[in-house]
Amino acid sequence: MDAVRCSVEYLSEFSDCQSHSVRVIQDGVNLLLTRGDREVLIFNVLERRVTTVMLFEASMIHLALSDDKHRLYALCANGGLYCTPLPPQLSSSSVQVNKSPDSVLFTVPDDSIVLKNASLQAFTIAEKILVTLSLHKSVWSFDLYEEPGSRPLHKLACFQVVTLNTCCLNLTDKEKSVSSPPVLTCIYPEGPTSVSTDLHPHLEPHLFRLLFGVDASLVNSPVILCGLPDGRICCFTLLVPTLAGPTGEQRSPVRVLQSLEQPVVFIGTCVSGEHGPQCLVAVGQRGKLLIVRSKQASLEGKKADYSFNEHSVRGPVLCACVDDKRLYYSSLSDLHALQLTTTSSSEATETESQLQTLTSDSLGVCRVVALAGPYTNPTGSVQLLAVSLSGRLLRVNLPQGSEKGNVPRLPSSLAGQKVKDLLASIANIWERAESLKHKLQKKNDSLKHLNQVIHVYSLLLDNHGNEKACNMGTKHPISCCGVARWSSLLQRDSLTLTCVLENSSGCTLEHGWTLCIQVHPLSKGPNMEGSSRTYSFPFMKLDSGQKLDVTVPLESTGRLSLPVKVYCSLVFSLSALFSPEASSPGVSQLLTETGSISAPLSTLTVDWLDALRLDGSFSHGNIRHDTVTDGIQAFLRSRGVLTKDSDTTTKSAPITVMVRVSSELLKTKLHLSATSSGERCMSVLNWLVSPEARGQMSVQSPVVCVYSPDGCSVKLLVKEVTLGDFCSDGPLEVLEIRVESSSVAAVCGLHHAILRRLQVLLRDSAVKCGHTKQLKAQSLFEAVRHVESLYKELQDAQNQAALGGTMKTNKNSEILFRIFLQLRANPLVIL
Amino acid sequence: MSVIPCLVDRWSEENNNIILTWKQNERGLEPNQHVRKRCWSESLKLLQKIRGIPAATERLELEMTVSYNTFLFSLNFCNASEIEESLTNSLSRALEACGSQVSCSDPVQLWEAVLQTLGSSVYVPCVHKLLLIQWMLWLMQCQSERVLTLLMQTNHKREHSAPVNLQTETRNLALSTEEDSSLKVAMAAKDLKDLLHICTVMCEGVEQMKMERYSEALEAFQEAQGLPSPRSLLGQIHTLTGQSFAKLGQPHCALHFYRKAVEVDGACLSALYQSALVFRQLGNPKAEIEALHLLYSAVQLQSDKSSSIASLVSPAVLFGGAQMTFISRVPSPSRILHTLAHTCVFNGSISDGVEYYLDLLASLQSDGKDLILTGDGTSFPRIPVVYLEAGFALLKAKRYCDALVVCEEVITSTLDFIPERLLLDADEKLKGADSDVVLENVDLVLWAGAAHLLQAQAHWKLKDTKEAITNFTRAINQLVKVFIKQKDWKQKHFGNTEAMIERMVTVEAAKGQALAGRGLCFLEGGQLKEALRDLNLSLQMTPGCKNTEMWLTEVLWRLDRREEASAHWREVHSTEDAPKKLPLYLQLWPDDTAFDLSDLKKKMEGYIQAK
Repeated sequence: MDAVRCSVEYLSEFSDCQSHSVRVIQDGVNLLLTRGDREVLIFNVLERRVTTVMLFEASMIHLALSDDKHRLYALCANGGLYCTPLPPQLSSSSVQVNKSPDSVLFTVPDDSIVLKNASLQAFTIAEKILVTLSLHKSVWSFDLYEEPGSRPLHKLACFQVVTLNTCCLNLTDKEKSVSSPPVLTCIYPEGPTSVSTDLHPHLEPHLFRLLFGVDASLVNSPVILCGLPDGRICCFTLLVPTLAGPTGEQRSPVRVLQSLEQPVVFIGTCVSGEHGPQCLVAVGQRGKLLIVRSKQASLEGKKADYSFNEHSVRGPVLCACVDDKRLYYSSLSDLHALQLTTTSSSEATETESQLQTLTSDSLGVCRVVALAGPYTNPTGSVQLLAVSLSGRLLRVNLPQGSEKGNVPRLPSSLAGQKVKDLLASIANIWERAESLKHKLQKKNDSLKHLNQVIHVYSLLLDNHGNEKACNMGTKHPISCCGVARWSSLLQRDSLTLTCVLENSSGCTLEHGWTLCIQVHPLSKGPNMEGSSRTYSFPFMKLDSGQKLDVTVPLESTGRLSLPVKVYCSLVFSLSALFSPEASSPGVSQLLTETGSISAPLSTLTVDWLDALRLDGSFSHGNIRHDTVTDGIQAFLRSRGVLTKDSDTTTKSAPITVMVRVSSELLKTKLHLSATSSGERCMSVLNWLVSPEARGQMSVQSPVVCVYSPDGCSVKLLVKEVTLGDFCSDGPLEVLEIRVESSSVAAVCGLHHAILRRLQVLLRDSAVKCGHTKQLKAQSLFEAVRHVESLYKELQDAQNQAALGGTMKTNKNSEILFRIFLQLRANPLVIL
Repeated sequence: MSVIPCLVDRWSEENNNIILTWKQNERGLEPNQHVRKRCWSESLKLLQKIRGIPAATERLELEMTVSYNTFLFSLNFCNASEIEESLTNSLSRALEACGSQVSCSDPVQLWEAVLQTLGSSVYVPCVHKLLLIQWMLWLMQCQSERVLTLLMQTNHKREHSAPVNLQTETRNLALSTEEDSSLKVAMAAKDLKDLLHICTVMCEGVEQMKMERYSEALEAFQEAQGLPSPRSLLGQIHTLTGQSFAKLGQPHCALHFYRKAVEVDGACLSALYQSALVFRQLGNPKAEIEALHLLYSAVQLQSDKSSSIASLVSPAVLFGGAQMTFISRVPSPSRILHTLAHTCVFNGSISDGVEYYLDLLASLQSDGKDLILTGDGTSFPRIPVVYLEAGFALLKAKRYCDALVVCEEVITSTLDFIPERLLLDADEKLKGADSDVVLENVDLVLWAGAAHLLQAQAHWKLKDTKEAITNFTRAINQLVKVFIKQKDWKQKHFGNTEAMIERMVTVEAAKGQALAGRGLCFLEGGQLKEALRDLNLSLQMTPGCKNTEMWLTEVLWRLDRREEASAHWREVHSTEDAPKKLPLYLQLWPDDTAFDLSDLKKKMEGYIQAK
């Protein structure tokens, strides 16, 4: 099938249109045009300019001309039906050149409303009768009014049809939201007496009689056909609506002809024969095409009949029009011309099978939302007037060559015009191709991006699943590790966490990815409720092998509370798949709620050990001052003045806690190679204080003096002792880790941190120890007794606290503190 | 302090100017709707100005009067609920002016408060004006209970011993309607009250009629007759009285009131229509035709002049849509014309009937000049039937060529619908739509057959025997297409509907007529055997047809079968033509005998005596 070439002329360009309420009516050289806003433009095709602008009070739904074309009826969104006379130079239809080059603005006054009814949906005018269709409480009612009539209009009749439940039509939400208005068409029987009105289609008398009955045909009455949004096509005889039924009763004049089961877009007549158009054509929104033809009475005297043929074309159909041979319809992407034929009785079967495969010719004009015509201009070519979605008014010159067979030679005078037309159509096609290419490119990009995202996720999820199996040595393709550091900013020291996201996988992380770091304090202090914070770092691109360093503060609301758990995850936001000017708003709407997916990367814990400061460059000025007195004391201290209070703090003996671990256990777990006890102690201390610097020793003695985050000095000490009476096998080498400081908080925090480290170490590598030690019952018994006695004391203290009330809290806390120290000072040995 | 009285004066003057314009327009020969609209918008603007400042007692009278005028003007331009909203606003402002608290927006309670607060003050006339507006609005919405409550509140001074009744309440209503000459009103409160009174009573009567309680309705209408009222309204009251009498089985009383109605108001169409119905019931075709003719001319006159009544408050507005259509219910001009034509032809005044039928056909064909509607729920006959009736009338009026043309129309239009065969199964029970389709098909066959039959008769009258025989044959061929499976359908009543039986009787009658007609043609052409066959068949179809019997006698006589002839002769005189309910176009006429029967009579009597 050849693509039919047609030329397109741009007549004018307006602003964007509302696709479902664009209407064009041609009246001689004038064009009445509405784009679904408040204006009706009168466009002179010869002068190619807007001569008059009629401004209505509300946005336009439908337009129609009265029978004599002197009055314009307009249905607006406020439910008002306006009737306004057309400007005189229009109604005379003469080619009067308007002297003034400016277009006339004409505001349609409020009192030109002839009918106000918010449920009005559509209307048409025929035979000086105004037919309106309104939907009220699921009843469609057709109302007939005298036209032109007094105001308010004199109502002549009213018929009603109940709506169908439309859920059976499987309307998608989109189709429902863009509800298509009903279509009202008035069809006249073709005949010698019929008035030659070009506003309404005609139908040959034979088919007209078969479809609409004897009465309509005898009276030559036009028939109103109505395509409802539920797909039904109803009809009633306009002039003789209330006729007696077969049993003498009055019957409903409205009859359902057929149902398209999809919103009806267009009803018209087509295929001219000698008595007028021979087919009734209806087009549904989703591309269903109904063609009604008459079947001739065969010779056997069988009664004549008509046939409904249903075909489908590619939807969605936005608008359509017919000439005597073809149906033109516009889907959003193209304008099509469909050749329609009539079935003659002899070749009925053949043609019917042919018709199943109706093919349409593409005219190559895209985004047409309204059509008028077709019209035959004086030179004999057929023209369509079209309005595109972007508000362009186009004149489509249809090719005539298809039936002539050969293209006639053009006279040279017309050749220039022809070239111009061809260039214009090339430009049009180029524009269309460009827009399609752009759309395709965008789609491909999105898909590629999505593919990559899914790949990255599968990598991450593999990591996560294998986390336990992997040991520390192997590296994940995408990993995140963090180190806590002290940094000084604006003369203030603060503890920050530096996280490094390393992409060692083969693929690139494109834009749309975000590194999320959630900091979650583990201790639950009085003001710690909901103090976990999340930091997001969106990044544009992370190539393979690149690293991303981010630093987040660990303090919240000016307080540092340790230990802190840090969760790192990679999040991808789906909206990044769609470019910001996404063509389909529906998808991005869907994304508003759960528009992202996230995959966990790693979990870190920052504890007191991490927050220790090894160096002594810890100036007093930078110590945090919680209260005013603290500040004053610090000031005094810095001046060298010792107050009495500070004396007492310094005098009080440092608190000591210790942890004992079997040195053999640590040796195997930490893979220590050192043989001497001193080296062993140093390595253990190194492991505790600076785990990241595993190789070089940052600590050169078994005793290290460090500063806790709150500025107290802490002594950490590791030494090896031998417990002789502990094991039945002989003396046991035990590493004793001792923490000494005057600050209770530091001691507790460090003790907890050390225990946690050991716990992790022992849990992570659950290698069975070679043999269990035989413990001496005596030492075990003693230890248990010691603990039991402490427990009893604790119970006593609790009882007293319960009885004592507030007065004795000081004493109680002293007791409890003592118990705590005793428990910590003489711990059990970890074997 | 000096500004306020000045404003009051200025606004009063503005109001008076508007009213003056209106009164001039009202008095003028050509009352103009635009003037009314202008008055309305100006009055509304004035009201908005007045409402722009807080309500106060010194301006209360002015404000209420302007509200009253505005509401009267707005009747044609706003709907009742909009006016009611504005009225509630006015009442609230009146209460505010008197310093009362406005607690609710329910109109009944609001009125109670207003009447209590202002009921004994100098503002009573103004309050009562607004009360009339409220009454009017509720009347328009047919809310007679609320009207009753409102009027009872107004009459609160009286002791209620008698049962509460809207009629007595209205009768006893004492409203102070004195006018203030310095503040003009668009319609005097007294006039409005009288109009509302009579309309309320009429409304009650109509409601009673709708519930088929005609004697109660009569009481209401009789009360309404005693009240002062405009002519048109009085005519309608008389018509409604007549209708109630007709329903109560007193047609002569009904006719009396219809006549009174027409005397009072010459344009009272419903009275004419109702009297035509009564005349038909009484079997007085001449009077019926006359009434219908008057009605038809009146309808045409009325449709010529535009019926825009200029009066400020018309009863049509007060009664609302449904009530008004009930009161002045007249069929559409086409329907009247058809009834008139049908009645004329049916009762033998052929020449008038033909003219009416031709008028009707012309109005149907004239590019649909008017919509054929029937306002009163009856339906227009099918168009082919109208054509056949017209053809029949033309035939009887001896305009044979015209009759041929009219029937040809029916034939061409029904041609496509005639089935090859239409077999009806009397046992089969058809439901709703299916049975309608079957009936429609039978109708189409019947119409086509009848059209051929009429054409054949026209040809026969034109002495074109050959064409006549052809057309009779066509008619027979069409009609025999309807065929009932069961032979004894006439005796047994199957599950069939009345309509089906009626159709079949009609088809049989048409068949009989066609066969008899063809037999007659054969008889004239001397083909006696064929004539005998057809006439016999015809008698089988429609036994007891006198003309056919006589023709059969003639045929038998000519065939020298004198015994049989004399037997038939005797049978003809012993039987009576059974009256059959046939459509107009199949009615038989005495003049259908094509030849002189006196000759046959002489022969037969001679033969019988000779025996």
